[in-house]
Parts: sequence; C-alpha cells; structure tokens
Amino acid sequence: MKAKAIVIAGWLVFSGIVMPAVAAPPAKLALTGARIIPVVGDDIPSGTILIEHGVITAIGEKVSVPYDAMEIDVSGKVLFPGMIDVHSSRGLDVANENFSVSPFLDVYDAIDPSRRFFENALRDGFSAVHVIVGNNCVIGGLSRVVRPIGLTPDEMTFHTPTALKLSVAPKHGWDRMRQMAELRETFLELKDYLGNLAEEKYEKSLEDKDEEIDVGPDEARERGEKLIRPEDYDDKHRNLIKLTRGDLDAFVYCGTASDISRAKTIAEENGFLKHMTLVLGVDCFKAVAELKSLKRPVVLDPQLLYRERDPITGKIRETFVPKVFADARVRFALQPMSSGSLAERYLNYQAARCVRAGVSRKKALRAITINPAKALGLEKRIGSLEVGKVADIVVFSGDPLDFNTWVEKVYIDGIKAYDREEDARLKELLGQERNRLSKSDKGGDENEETEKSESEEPAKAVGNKQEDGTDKKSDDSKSTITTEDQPSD
Amino acid sequence: MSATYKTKQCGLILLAAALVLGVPWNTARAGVDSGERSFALRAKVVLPVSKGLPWRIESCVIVVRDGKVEAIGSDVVPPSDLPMIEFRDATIIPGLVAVAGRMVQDHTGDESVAAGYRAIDAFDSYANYAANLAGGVTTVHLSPGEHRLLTGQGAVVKLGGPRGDRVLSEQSDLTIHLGEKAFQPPRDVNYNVPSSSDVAIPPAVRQRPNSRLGQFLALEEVLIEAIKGQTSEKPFVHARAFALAWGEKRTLRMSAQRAADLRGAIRFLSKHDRPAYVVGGAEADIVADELRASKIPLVYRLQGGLRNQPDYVGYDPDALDVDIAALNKLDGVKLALAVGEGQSIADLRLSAATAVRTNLSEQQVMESITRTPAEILGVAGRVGSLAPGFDADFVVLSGGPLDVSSHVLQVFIGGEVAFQAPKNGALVVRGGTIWVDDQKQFRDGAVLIEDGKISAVGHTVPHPPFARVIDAGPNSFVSPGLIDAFGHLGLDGDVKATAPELTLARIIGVPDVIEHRVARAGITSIILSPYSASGLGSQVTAVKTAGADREDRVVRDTAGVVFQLGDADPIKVKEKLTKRLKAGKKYLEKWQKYEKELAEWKEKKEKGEAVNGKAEESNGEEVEAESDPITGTWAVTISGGPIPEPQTATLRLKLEGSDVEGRIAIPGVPEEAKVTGTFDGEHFSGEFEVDTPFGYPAIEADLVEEDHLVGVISIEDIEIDLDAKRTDKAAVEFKVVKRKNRGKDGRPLPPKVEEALEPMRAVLLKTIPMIVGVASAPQIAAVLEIVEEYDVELVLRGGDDSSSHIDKLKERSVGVIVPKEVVRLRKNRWYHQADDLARQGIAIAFQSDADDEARGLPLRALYAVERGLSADSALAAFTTWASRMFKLDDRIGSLNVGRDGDIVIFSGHPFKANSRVQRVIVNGEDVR
Repeated sequence: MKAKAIVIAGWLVFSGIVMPAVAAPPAKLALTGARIIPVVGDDIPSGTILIEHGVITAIGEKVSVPYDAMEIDVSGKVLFPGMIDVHSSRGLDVANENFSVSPFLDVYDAIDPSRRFFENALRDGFSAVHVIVGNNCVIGGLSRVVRPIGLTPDEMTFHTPTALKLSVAPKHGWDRMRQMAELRETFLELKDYLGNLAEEKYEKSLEDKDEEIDVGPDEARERGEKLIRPEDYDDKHRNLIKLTRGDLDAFVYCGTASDISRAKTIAEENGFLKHMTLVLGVDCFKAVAELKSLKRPVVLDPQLLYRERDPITGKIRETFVPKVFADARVRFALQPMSSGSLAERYLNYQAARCVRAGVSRKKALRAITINPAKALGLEKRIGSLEVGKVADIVVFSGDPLDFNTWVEKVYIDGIKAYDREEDARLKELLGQERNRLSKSDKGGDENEETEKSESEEPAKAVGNKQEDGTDKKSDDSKSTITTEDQPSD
Repeated sequence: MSATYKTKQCGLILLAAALVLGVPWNTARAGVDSGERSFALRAKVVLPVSKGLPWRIESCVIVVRDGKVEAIGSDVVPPSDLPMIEFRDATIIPGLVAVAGRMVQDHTGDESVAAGYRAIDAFDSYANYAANLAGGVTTVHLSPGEHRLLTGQGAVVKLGGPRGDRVLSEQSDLTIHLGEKAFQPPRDVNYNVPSSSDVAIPPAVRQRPNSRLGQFLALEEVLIEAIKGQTSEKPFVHARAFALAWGEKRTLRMSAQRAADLRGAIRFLSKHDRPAYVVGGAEADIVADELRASKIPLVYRLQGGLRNQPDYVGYDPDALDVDIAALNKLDGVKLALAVGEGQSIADLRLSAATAVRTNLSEQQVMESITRTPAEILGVAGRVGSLAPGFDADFVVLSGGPLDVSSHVLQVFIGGEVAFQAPKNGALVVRGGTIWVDDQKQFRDGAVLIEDGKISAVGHTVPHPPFARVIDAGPNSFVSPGLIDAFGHLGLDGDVKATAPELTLARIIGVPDVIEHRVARAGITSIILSPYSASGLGSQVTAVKTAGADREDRVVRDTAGVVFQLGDADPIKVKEKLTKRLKAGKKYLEKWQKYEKELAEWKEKKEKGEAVNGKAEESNGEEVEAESDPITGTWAVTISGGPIPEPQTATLRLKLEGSDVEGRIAIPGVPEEAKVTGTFDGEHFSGEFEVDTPFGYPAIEADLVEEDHLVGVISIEDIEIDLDAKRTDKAAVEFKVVKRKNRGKDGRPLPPKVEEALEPMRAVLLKTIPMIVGVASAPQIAAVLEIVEEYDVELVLRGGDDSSSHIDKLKERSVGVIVPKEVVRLRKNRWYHQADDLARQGIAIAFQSDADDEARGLPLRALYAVERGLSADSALAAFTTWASRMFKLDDRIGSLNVGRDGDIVIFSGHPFKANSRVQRVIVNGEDVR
C-alpha cells in the first residue's frame, strides 16, 4: 500500500502535475459530514465513511472514528462510488489489430499509462477502466480492468484476465455472412486442433511405452484428451480454450438487434453463454424481449437516442434507449461517449439524461456504478459504497446528476488519487480559457480600456473582469476543456 | 318476509357483481384464447390461388385462428367468438413470394466456392420492411450473393408476422451461379496466424472458374471431396457445409441466363439427381424443349425494369420486349416470375402485371408469383395460397392484383397486421354513370376525393398511393349527396321560432342515430330551419347529416332568412318585409360607409398623406348628457290583431347604456313578464319573455315624441299595436355614449355589429336568399314587388300559385320549394306543380318540413316522377338546383372539382323504382 502511494506521488511528479509534498496516506481514514450515495442501499443525508487499509470498514450516520484515523471533513459534499468505464479502447493507441481472429493478443502490451485519457478519466470521476480491444474484429484479444493512475500497466492493473472480445457485427468492409463464417471457422478449427493434439498426445504416450498405435483416430482422440496438460496448448488457442471452458468471460459486440440471436447461438454452441456480456449497438433495444430472456449483462451504446425514419411516411421516430430497457426491467450499464468534448463523455451526465427521459434515479445511478461492476464480474469488490468493498470514492461538489457539479476528489483504494485543488493542468487550461474570454470581452473597445487604465488602477480593473468571466465559465467548464488525445478507432 | 327480501337483494347484488366483474374478465380471457391472430373477415373478392378452390370467390369469408387459415369460402359462416373485419371494396390475394431479388448484399468473402456462407446470417429480422410489404411481398428468398460460382446457402423468410415464425427455411438451398459474373474470382489468401519459422504464410491461391469451361470442373471438384468425406481441408466451415448439404440432398438453385449455361445446368442437374430449379432464363426460349423434358422448374427474371430503365438498350428493336419472346415459348415449363437483376422486389406485382402482355393468362401470372414460387422454394404447405391450414399471409388490395392503379392497403402475416397503408384520406369512386350536375353526366367514370373534397372527376382519375377504391360496377349510378331544402332534423319537437340573431348551427354537434337514419337514405345535407319563423325573420342553416363534429357538419351558418307570411293580406306582407329590409339597408349602409372610409384611409396612408382629420382631434369618447327618454313607468295601451278591445298595462323600463330592461304588468295576469331590448335614441326594439308556441313576442317601437312610444308587438305573423305614455320618470338623466368612429391612427372604426341585422345585410348583399313561405298569388305578387325594389335573391316556399308569375320568377331566377303534396286538385283538375315549374325552367327543390321523416323524401320524389316529373329534374331538384338557390353550389350539390366529397351510389338511376341506395359517403367518409 505504502509502495503504491509513493508510486502515485512519483507519477504525479512525472506527469508534470506539481503537487505539494504529500505525506504517506494514513492506514485509517474517515470522511465525515458528507451526503453519501452508496448506490446499494439508501442515501445517507449526512454520514461518515471509515476506510481501513484501503477497504471500507464502516459507513453510516454515526460511525465511531478510531483515535488513530485521519479525519477529513467533507461536509457539504457528496460521496459517490468511483464510476466504472465498462468498455473502452481508449487506453490503447489503436483500437484493433488488423487480424480478424486474434485471441492471442492482450491489451497489456498496448496500455500506455501516460495517455492523457487516463488523466481525464480520473478527473471525470472514474476509478476503474475496462480496457478492451475495439468492435472492429471477429475475435479480439484479452482485456483487463485498470486504475486510471499508475506508472506501468502492472501498477495500474486492478483485475486480469477479464474477458475476450468477440464481435458478431461485421468488421469494416465485411458482411454478416463472412463474420459468422469466420466465427464458426475459428471454433471448428479449435475443435480440430484439440483433436489432433489429443491424438498426438496418445501416440506420444504409446511411443514412450514403446507400443504401437492400436486404435482408430476417433478412439485415439478420446483417449488422448485426458493426457493433455494446460501447458500443451499453443498461444493461438489457449485463450479460446479458456473461453469455451468458462475460465474467461466474453464481451460480445452486437451491432444491431438481429445480432443478439446470433451471439446467443455462437455462445451456446461453444459453451460461454453463461460468461457473456453483450455490448449493444444503438438499435438493439428492439430485441429487448430476447435480451430479457437471455439474462446476461448488457452494455448500452453511448448514443442513447435512436432515430428511425419510416420508409413510407418519411416521419422520424425517436426512441430513448435506456428507457426501453428500464421499462422492460433489463439491467443495463452505460458507457461514456468516447469522442472529444461532448458532455456525453461524463458518465454522470449520461445517467442524468436517463433520469430526464423517465428512468428512475436509482436505476440511472446503478447503470454507472454497480451494473458495470456486475458486467465485469467485480460487483463484490467495486461499484458501490458498502462495508468490505474497495474504497473507490468520488467526492462530488453536489448531486452527481446536477450538471453544475464537478469532481472534487477521487479516492482509489482509500488513497487520494485526484484533487481538483491540486490539478495543475486544469488550472492551466482554465487560465488559458480565462485569458481567451477576457480578450474577446475587450474586443471592440480596446481604446476605452487603455484610457481607463491610465486613470484607474489597471490591474484591478482587468482582474475584476476576469473574475466575472471565470465565475460564469466555471459552471460549464466541463464542456469546454478539450484535452483528449484520441486513439484512432 | 324481510328475510326473503334480503335473500333476493343479496342475489341481485351478487348478480350485478358477477356482471360487472365477469364481463371484462371474460373478454380478457377471450383475448388470451383467440389472441389478435384470430379473427374472421369478409372481402369483396378473394383470389385464393389454391388448387382445390375456385379461382375467384366473391363476398368471401376467411376464418383465421392462431395465425392460420381455418376456413375459406363464400358459404363459410363466421364463428360467433371471433371479431369480424369487413373489407367491402377490397380484393384479397395470398402474400406474394419473391423468389429472386436483392434483399441482402453479396457476401464479401474471396472464395469462389464457399458453401459456408449462410444468407440467413445477413437477415435482419428486426428491420422495417414496409417498402417491400407495400408491394405485397410477404415471403422472400435470401441469396448469399450472385457474384461467385457457389456463394453459399440461401434461406426463405417472411418479412413480418410473429417474430419467432419469420424464418421458413434457414438453409433452403445451395446457391450456384453460372455465367460471366462468376468468372475470374479474386485470389484467395489464407494467413496462418501467428506465423513463425515453422508456420509459413502460404501464397495466395488462384481460384476457378476463369471461363465457362471451368465452372462445372470447379463444382465437381468440391463434389468429389465432399463425397470422399475429405473435409479436413481448411477452411473447414465451407467444406463441411457443402458435404452436409450435399448429403442431405439440399435443393440446388442454379442461376443461368445464357443458353449455354442453361444447357450446362440442365445436364449437371440430370446427372446428379436432386431437387433443383433454375433462376434467370433470359435465353430460356432457346432451350425450351430441354427445359420441358427435364421438368426442372424455371424462375424467370423479368428483364424490363419499371423504375430504372437502362440509358442504352442496344440496336435490337425488340430489346425492351425480350420477356414476350422468352415467355411465349415456355408452355409446359413450371414457371415462377421474379424481378430483374437490380430491380426492387417491391415492384414484383407490377413487373408481373407486364407479363400479361405475353401468352400467359392473368391466372397463370398470379400463380407464378404466389403458389409456384412457394412450391419451388419448398414452403408450399405454408405460404403461396389461401386454403385451410395455410399461414394467414395475405394482401388487401384496393383493386385487381394485376391492375396498375390498385394499391396495397394492408398486409397480414401469420394473422398479424404487418403493414398498414398510411391513412391519406384519398378515395376513388368508380361507377357506371357519373351524374356530375344537371348539365354534365357521363358513363364509366370515377371521382377522386382527397381530404374530404372532390379533387378529380372523369373517365379516369389519378390514384394517389394507398387510395381506397370503391368500384360500384357498370350499372351503378353515382350522384351528389341529396339535399332536403327545408327540414327540421334534430330539433326534436322544439317548435319555437328562433330570434333573428340566432343560428341553429350552434346546436349542431355529433350526429345522432336519427341523423344517421336520414344520411343512410342518401340525404346528406339539410337546410335546417326552425319550425316557425320569427316575425323579424329567422335564420336557416345548411348542415350535413353526417360528420365527426360541428365543423364537419355545418356547411354554412346562415344559409338564408326565412319569413312566414301565413294568410296575411298583401299590404301587411309588404309592410312587414319592407320594414325589415329597410332596417337591414340602413345597417348595410353604415357598413358600406365604413368600408368606403377604410378604403380611402388605406389609400391615403399608402400615399403617405396625413390621415388624421379634424374630427379625430378629440380622440376620447364623446359623452353627451341628455335627459333619459326611456327610464320610468309607462302606461301602455295595446290594441288590434286578435285583441277584441284595447287593453291597458303598466311597463316599467330602465335604460343602461343602450340596453333596456324592465317588466310589464298586465291586469289579470298574476306574473309580471320580463322585457329586454335595446334603445338607440329613437327606436326601441326588444322582446317579452313570455312563452308562446312561436317564441317570445317581439316589440318594435319608435319614440314619436317625448314620453310617447308607438310601435307593434309581433308574435309569429300576428301584430298588435302598442301605444305607451310615460307617467313617471325615475331617472332624469342618462348618458349616451357615442362610439368614437376613428382609431388612434385615424383609421375608421367599424360600426357596431348587430347580430339581428347581420342576416339581412347578407340578404341585401345577395350572398344568401330570403326564403318566404307564401300561400296565395297576391302574396307572391307583393313579395316579388319588394324583391324587385330591394334587389335580393328569393326562394319561395310553398307557392301554390307561383305558376301565375312564371315570367317574373324566371327573370329574377327565383327558386321554388314545392309543397309537400306533390299533386293536388286545382280548379277541379289534378295539378303537378313540380313538373309544371320544372318544365317551364324554374329551379325547384323538395322539402321534408319534418324531423327524421326526411328520409322518406326520395320516395315522395319518386311519386312525383311517377306522376310526370322527369327523373333527371327530380335529381337536379335534390342536388344542383337546391344548392344553387341557397348559394351553396360552391360546396354541395354537384360532383365538380372542389366540392365536398358527398356522394350517393345507387344501383341504378335514383328515380327508378327498382334502384336502391348502395353507398353513402359524406366528406369522403363512409356512412353507409
């Protein structure tokens, strides 16, 4: 724990964020006086969270704080579980390899801790990011869940291996027939490989005993099957075998509603139906009945609004997708929009949109915390503020669904990983913005300004003006900062 | 006793509870049992395209249960437990089967022979296929591609219906393509990943076929492998799929257009005996004999495209008629028709319609797009025909299936509505005779109604997409809706006269049963009048007998002003009418003055001249103090009329502004009556709130000198003289507020609207007629004189002796509403007034003068025809003439473009005894 803290401090220096010297975080920490939204369980209007060695040990209105705990007063703030980016390829430099079937790849090789994406994720209140290859594949590689903070991928890793990426929607330039043929081919080839391997193993075992092969190939394959050891698998097939035996989860991308039945067929035939999370395209809500009977976690497209034009009348019909799922009582996780400066990249904004469209507040909040955790199989460790869970906490300045709210602090493993007060880059950016605004404010009446500066105190006059601009700006500062270095999808 | 009573009461309560609870519960259960997919329907025509059923069944009932056809036929009795749908004008055919056409894109793989591609993988079962359904297509074959030798496995799906039931055949065939398109496939590259020093990347493989020579070689190659069971070659998915399909004797679908490829296909298929069919067949005429002998079905792809014609078709003079040449030689070949390459399957029905140009009969063409393709695709037990046991997949068409002007109105798949044409309010009525108006009639025509208005009439009319069609048959007679020129429908026995300012349009609402009864008789409009007219004239209203609301029903709020003369002598008649017209004229002149001033003001303003005249300097309201000439107690003497000797009464009045209120006490009458009215400084007009059978008595009096009122009290056509002297002045002063006549910018302000005189203004402007109920020739003469003087339009009601003024009537084009008695004795001879006047060129109209007995009016007219009136004159009297005399001919009374869509369809001429009303349409909506 201590080592980690030092590493974090080092990273902060390394990445150019100048922070005042931080003492090693205390083993016991109490956040007091804040409104707590634990997501699982009722809200606590004013309460305390006690963290011991990175784990929440007490939560409630009245918590007796041990004498040796460091007490931090966060009254007036809102404590919320660290949000989870359930499906993101932005931690990678390129979302997909050009091999269509590449189960042997691992995002570990491509995670770059210095990507601005992680810094932004932390600033936006994420405490875990599921880094996974993009949708443009047949079978992608292994994914992992990382913290948006750390010096090396190992440092960042929270959980691995997590899942293998598959897509039933065609990759670029392909069609669904080819996509499905390729998927079937992959699993047919796997079966063939395992058969051959078993046969080889059996032959070898006989050879060792100096015996001649005595049975037909089918029988030999059956006998050889038991002789295979995990280390016999080659790199190409290892992960696929894990997938078919239920040792790996699958994240399956469905581009359109009819893909869901195809995903189901492939998963059923190859034994990973019970380990499948579906990543949905925007129109998949049409198959909500099918999804309900499937009982697997679903991740919705960040584009929450679906528009369809009637081919006869030409009228456009709009559907707000999460509402359909909420009404059908299908549990769903939300994703942030990956593109640039849109407000949709804030997960709490996505949840607020759901509430505006009539989804209950409870369901909307779950969709950005505990539901993503469930989709990743990590619901016992993260996704809510409960005793025994990892202390991933976001300190919001107000209600998370209010757009005037910003992230003040983020605690990861009970360690303060982000503090707005000490966010050097944000300050720099806001400063730039301030200057730009004050310049454009001056604009036409520059002469007037100069005249004034002669008669009155120049610095103060300008300073006042800046402050006005800042106050105005800080409300929607979220939507104006563009700090993204975007990986090509 | 009380115990018995209680038991009974309990029983009743229980029964009531059972009824209340039980009814919805039963309905709900019935809903679950039968579902939406169980119903019965009756259609005008059904073409079942089934071997065991007649080709065409009229007035056919189809019973659908759980999405399947249970029974079909004209003699089938619809079960009582199912809801019934009526398609009175529609033709129903089985859903069309599109056996070829581009529904999914070609697969993007490189393999020349690849049985592992499944077209079903590219089928989006959630997509909206409305465009194809609107073409009547319900079942389609999906092809994995048409660009390689063997592209994979086809599928057969439905475009709608219950989602779990949309796939008819997941792997229906192996799809093979012969000909130029499949030659020169790309090189096939197969990477070994990850490659290493042991595992090399193999070079790209060249694929066959490169020419016509190689195509069967390539096929035989995979065949040998499949038969030998060598399926360990990579990629597995294609080799195994082929072996499996071949082993299962999967149908072979071979596309071939050129004669050489067709011959090759026939040879290949006869060698390998398995189910098969050929698609394409552009040169099938050349190999027609071989095709016939091989008994291989042919799906002929029609060459002519309806939407996209090629820019250049070559030198062949018959280039656009290739279909005729090919199809004419294919007798004896099992034939299905499909759209050409690059054409939309939504055009299947119309493409097939063009095939009727060839030797094929309409019946053969219909079979070739329904039953035959279903048989070829191996789904004949479910779709392609309408017979018991088949899926309830059918198309509701507005007309004949191969008629280019008919449209798909609705599509059912598995008993579910898969497509519903958008309601665009367009209706085409076709009939044997179209009676447009009294001048214009023709045979074999049609009327198009859009948004409730007639938008076209002629031998043929446009058929907008999804227009409903009523084809009434060659003997039918299409006439404008009939008009009752004077009726009291819906007044419900309220016999009071209405005050002059009141229009009956205010009481019009949603039509009731009685209105519907009248509408069913073909009477679509009524000139609605109160039973008796006020002495000052009552308004009549033109209303329809059907419509959704008041706006739909009211044709004109004020369609005329009716006066009833009774047996008053001509001098009185003249006086009465003149007085009213004079008042109207005065009022009209005020308006005309205002309009003139306004025009001048506008002109000045446009020119930029100063518009604020002198008079406008004091812009405030002018207030003049005057002594109050009305308020106080008046000693009244009434005399004349039916009163044997003068009587006295006391009248107490109070003036406020220009409104007068008060009470009258008549000695011997216990209650005082309320008096209300208005006073304009000289003239007092008002009414007594006393119930009489004719409404409130009206009072009109002039202040002839100070404290002296002289005037008349009128009840219906009885008039009583009034003379009143003021005996006591309660208030000495009152304020006359003179309206300022200019606005702030100098704009002249309009005069005060006087509701009671508005109708008279319209009469004087000749926008509505004056309807005068007359009894005798001298009365008519008097009325005509006044009409002449004031130059207004006149309609005579009754007018027994109108024939004696025929020239005058003609000159002023006066209409006559003939009396209820069609023929009566006059000077000891039978006189038929309607016939007499019609023959002399006078416009006549019929009146019911009754409530819902109006529906008997056409029968009375039929009697008039029997007694000599010409049938067309009778119809004109009901339509064109009636609408013209009330100046309503811009809305009703004819079938000209722009008029309301009010139509009656008769089985023959409406005034033939054997003809009856078949359909009634008001504002484009069905009434009957």
